[in-house]
Amino acid sequence: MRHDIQSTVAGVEALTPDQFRSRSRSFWLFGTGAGAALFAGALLGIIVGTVIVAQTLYSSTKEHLFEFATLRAIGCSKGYIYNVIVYQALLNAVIGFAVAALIGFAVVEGTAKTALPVVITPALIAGLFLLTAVMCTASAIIAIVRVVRMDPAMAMAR
Amino acid sequence: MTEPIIEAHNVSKTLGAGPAQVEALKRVDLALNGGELTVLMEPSGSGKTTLLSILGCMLTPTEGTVRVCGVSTQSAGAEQLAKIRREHVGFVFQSFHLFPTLTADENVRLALDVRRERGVEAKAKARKVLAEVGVAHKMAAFPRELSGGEQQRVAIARAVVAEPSLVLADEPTAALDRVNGKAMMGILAAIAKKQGRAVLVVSHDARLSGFADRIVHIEDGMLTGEERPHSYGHKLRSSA
Repeated sequence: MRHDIQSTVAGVEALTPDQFRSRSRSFWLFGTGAGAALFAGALLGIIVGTVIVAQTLYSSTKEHLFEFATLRAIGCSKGYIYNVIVYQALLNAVIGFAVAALIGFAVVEGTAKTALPVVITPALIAGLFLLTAVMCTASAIIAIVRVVRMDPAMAMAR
Repeated sequence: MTEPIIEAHNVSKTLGAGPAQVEALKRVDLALNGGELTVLMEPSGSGKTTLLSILGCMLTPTEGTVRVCGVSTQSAGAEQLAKIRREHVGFVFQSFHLFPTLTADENVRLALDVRRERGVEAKAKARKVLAEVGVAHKMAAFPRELSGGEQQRVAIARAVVAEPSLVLADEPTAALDRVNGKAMMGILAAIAKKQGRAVLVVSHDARLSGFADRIVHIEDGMLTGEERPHSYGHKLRSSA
């Protein structure tokens, strides 16, 4: 049909639905600057999210330094400390992702019958969860460094 | 003669640098034997925290050597020191240092968890030790639900549950009333006697001397004297 239209009507470009979808996406992403804004927004989200989780973990760790000093004093290894802090980071990831997923599903439901429905595919969900987990684990690095550099003799000081 | 559990030879420790440099310990020689409760008597600021930290393998001496169960701490890194602590040393802290979000049982099991001892056996061990220190009925209680004496009993249980050869107690009775203080010293003495561990208690409370097999005095970073309260000679001196 595309060929028929194109051959019979002059000055017209006929596209299949897939081609139209792809053309529209490219136009909005690369032709209008919206794509750059979207990418910048996402990057900013990743950076700000990582910094916020890092600060949360760091201040929580700082608040519990004596507990960590006690753990070190009773002989726990660095690996044990890594596990404790990374576990906390992943817990943050799971809770944060669950909240975001609820909001996401509400948006999907809300836009389902509109002209511009938002679609979240299972692959996108999995990718975002992986990204969140990686972000939170990376956020744990500062807290881990603070604890493993700590002097276990600090436990004696209180 | 059996080998001491811990042996500190000619140990000195310098803290700080430049004008703020302090020689916290000066040529300390000390050996602790299994089955003995030693009380380290000290006035404040005499270097007890530094000595306890070195004997507990949290710090390494500037000079001298420390051997715990035959293992030297000289040139040991942070992880090796942690391993020595894990395998040979139990700590009782002045302020208990129990984890507020864990129950008494969980606090005790934490000492096993860092040694990768988990599951039913760890639970049984924790239960047994809590019973030995008299707080089996408080297993499920959180530290905030325990009295000071009970908290210190849990702290002692945590220190001994992994069966360390050496138990170091930093002023374990300082936060307790007289009755609880005596009870705590009784428990520590029993740990030394019945379980054959070397127990070192740091204190400036002379009333504790009745529980000691040996009293060592430290002042300005130096050991200034030693006595054995239960020895025949000491009894003669006391009655004179």
